[in-house]
Amino acid sequence: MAPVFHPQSPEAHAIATIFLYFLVLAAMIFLVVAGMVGYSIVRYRARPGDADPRPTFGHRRIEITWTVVPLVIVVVIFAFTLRTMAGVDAPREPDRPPDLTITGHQWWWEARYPNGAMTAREIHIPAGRRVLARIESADVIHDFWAPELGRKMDAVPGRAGYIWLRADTPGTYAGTCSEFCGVQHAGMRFGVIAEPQADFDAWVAQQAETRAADPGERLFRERKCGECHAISAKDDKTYTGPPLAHIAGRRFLGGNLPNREGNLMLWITSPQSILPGNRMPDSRLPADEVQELTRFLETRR
Amino acid sequence: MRQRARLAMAMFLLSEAVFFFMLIAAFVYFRAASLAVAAANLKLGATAVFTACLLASSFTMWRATVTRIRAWLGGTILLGGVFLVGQGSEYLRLFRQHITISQGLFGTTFFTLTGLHGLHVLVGIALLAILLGLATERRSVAVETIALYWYFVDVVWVAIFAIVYLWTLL
Amino acid sequence: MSPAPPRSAIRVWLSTIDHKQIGILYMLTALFFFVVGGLEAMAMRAQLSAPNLKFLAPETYDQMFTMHGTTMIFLVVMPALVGFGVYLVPLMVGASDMAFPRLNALGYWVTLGGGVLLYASFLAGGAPDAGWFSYAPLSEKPFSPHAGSDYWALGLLLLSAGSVIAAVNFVVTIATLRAPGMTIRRLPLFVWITLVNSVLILAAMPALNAALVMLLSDRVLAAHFFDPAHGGSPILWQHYFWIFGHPEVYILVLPAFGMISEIIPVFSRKPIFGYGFVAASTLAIAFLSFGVWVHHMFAVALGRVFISVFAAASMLIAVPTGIKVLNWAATLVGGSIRFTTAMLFAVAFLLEFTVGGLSGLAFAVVPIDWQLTDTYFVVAHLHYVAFGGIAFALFAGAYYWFPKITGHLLNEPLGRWNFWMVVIGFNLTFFVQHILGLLGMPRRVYTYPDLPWWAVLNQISTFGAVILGLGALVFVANLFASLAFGARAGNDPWDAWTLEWAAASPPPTDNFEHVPPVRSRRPLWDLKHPEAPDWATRGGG
Repeated sequence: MAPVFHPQSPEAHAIATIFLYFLVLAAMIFLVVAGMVGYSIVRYRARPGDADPRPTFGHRRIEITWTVVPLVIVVVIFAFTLRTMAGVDAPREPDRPPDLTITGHQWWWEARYPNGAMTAREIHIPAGRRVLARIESADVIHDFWAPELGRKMDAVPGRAGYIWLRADTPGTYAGTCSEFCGVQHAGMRFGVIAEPQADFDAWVAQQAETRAADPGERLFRERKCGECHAISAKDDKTYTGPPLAHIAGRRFLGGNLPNREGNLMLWITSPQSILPGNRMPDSRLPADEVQELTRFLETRR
Repeated sequence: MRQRARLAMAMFLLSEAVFFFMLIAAFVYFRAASLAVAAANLKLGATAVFTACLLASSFTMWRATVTRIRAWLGGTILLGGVFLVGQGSEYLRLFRQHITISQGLFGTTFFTLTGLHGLHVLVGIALLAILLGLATERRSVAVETIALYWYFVDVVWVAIFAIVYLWTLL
Repeated sequence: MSPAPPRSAIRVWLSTIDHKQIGILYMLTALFFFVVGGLEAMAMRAQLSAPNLKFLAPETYDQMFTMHGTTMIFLVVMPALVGFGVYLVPLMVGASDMAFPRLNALGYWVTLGGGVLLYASFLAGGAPDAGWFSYAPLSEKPFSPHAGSDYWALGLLLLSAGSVIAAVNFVVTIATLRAPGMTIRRLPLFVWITLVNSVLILAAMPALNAALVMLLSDRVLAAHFFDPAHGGSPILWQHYFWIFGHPEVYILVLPAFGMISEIIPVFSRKPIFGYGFVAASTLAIAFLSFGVWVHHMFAVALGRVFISVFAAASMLIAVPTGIKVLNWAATLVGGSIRFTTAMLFAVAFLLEFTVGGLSGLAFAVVPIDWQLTDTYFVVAHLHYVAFGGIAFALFAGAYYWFPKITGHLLNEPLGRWNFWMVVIGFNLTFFVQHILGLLGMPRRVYTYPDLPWWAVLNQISTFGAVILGLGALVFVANLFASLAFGARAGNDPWDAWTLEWAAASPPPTDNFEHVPPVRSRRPLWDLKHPEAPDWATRGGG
């Protein structure tokens, strides 16, 4: 089932409904035109020896009819459009702080929560409840789009947008960047993970916790990983790469690699082979260091 | 021929009008953010003087179209040149204050708008100089047609002067 | 005095100021870039034929889609339409050339120069790769450091200058060089539409020029128009680009409408159903086209009221467009339809353009746009109007006017192969893309994950593209074969009614020996039917 027609929230449902009505209308209009054309090319096909028909020069009443009728149709469509817009859209300037802030980066999605928790690529929300998400960009224009859940919103640097984000039932809902943003636009996928409220609360609290110190962090800093990646929870600075404080708990790594087996090692060694052009260079580190870094990151749950 | 040339120039000036409108709109769009720098650095008096020269050049241009005396063309070129020199000196003064096109929103919008206008004045002067070299009979239609361009460039400057200088400083 | 020595063909063509030769130069340039743009498309479809392919690196793919869009719009459709225009308008109004023949030549060479500059980018570090509408800040220096975007902006400035030059020439030609008796209300629709379209060009291209100048200031002189770090606005780029960009798509389609308005009546053997309404709706479209641009920006947080105004205008503009489609369809009713290849393409145009127009109307319904903008649904929509619409009209125009231009008929059997391969290939390629958009596939992606149905639909699309490409090659082959071996065409192979068919095929330098008298919209009908001329029939004057 196409995601746009598989709505998992009231907002997405409202959009799917108006689209369905529109499709029916469009089909009828197409049939009128195709009918006229199809009928004519059969009925009025020239036969050898046919003379030219007597010239006719239009018909005012017909012209007025097929001006007025489409106008009426357009007015009706417009009315339904306004109604659906009002039903699905969040306010331009909300009167309360957002429940989470989603920031587009080249080429990954960041989610930040009011308690300071930060994650990447996997945006957790409580299921069955509408949350207010603020959409921003750290660099170029991106677009946040999870088709089963509702409208898309451009992430414009210097200008925030707000959407309602809601999933009726717990589950994972695929999303992707939907505004060309550079060489790895295609790689900029994400998932919205809707969980029962209690699970969500536990997750967001856990994401804000600091993990125990580990000797691997020294290597992490010596090899400059810390210049692009936050390794502590609640780190407010701006980073080029996704936060790693809780990387081990995520289901996917960069490039939509499942977070299992040797994928983290592969990513650390050669991210360019997975997402060519992305901002993390191939590490060229010796195997034992890659192993140590991987071990360290796997403690960051 | 005269009618065709005039229509062609009018059509071209229509597109130029839209072009300058868009650049002026960009200036207005960013005006609030650039007001402080503008107010502190633009000088009304000097600009008014070379504005007057440009307006006078429209008068001399008109005289050139009704008489056949080349001196009026020469006068137009001279007054246009004075305008450009005045504009250039204003630019130099701003550069000395470290206000360039990359200074910020004022620099960006001011230099782009006035720079493109200045370029149009320069092209106009070049066309007038070519006209000076043409034979009288051929010149008549050409002078009238280029005169339309010259008036247009003046009108654009009046708009720029009003929006960039008067609206900022008064 | 001894006669001048014969000049070589190359010198003749390089220095010509004859509108017919300049028209041919424009058309040949368009044909060349059509092949180039088509190859760019084939490269993309090859890369997308399966998930996670490594045929094209992402950087290369991004250059392909940027150049494909820019080429097809500015180096194929614009020159092709201007080419037909400068060739046909003087003939259709009974003139011996355009008002300004040398300006005409200048316009062509400036256009060619723009194309050369744009493609020189490949040799200068890489072609532009920020998309054909080059959104900021991606197209600004920090995110696009190499010079491709500079070549894009400069090339487009030249191409835009070429369009403005042509537009000025069209207005003056149509205003001042019409044959006696040819009032504005008796203009062939192709000429009337060219006139309106030319004013549209004069009003819209400067918006692009302003945007390009601003982008170049940012990139080359470190200005801050679109740079959010210094208070600039990326959204300002979008506004300025689309204030040009939306009228631009009408600039592209209106002359195609003009061609269809000439072709359908002749092969239905009836005058167009409602000349006045087709003419008036052209004005409505031109006017409204300046009030809809924000519909390209509905996914930006601009405020519901602001967006709603543009949604209303975008729905409204469907009405005059629909009036045209209905008028063309009504022309068929009661006619005596001759299925030449030109007519096949014209009838197919009606159906394809209707699909494209309806998918466009879908985007005017803002919540639908909020799901489907920037997906393959848009790619489907734009190709239905641009290829199924404009390109089909150009094919029809080629088959219709080739005899006038060359004195030979295009081969009809090859024309049939051309038509069916293009129609089947086109619909296979692009219909499934509506579904891909609904499945969640965004546009401008160099690859995609192996999600259900994504791979097979992309395969079908690629397969269709191959058929479409081969059909286009049949067209090119037909052009050259018919030039060499095609049946000779007389002045008026189609028994048509507008003045160009009174001239020889091809016309001599000054076009007409004698311009026929003009007392109606169909002067040649009047000549051939002195017992029932239009000017003596109610409604026909």
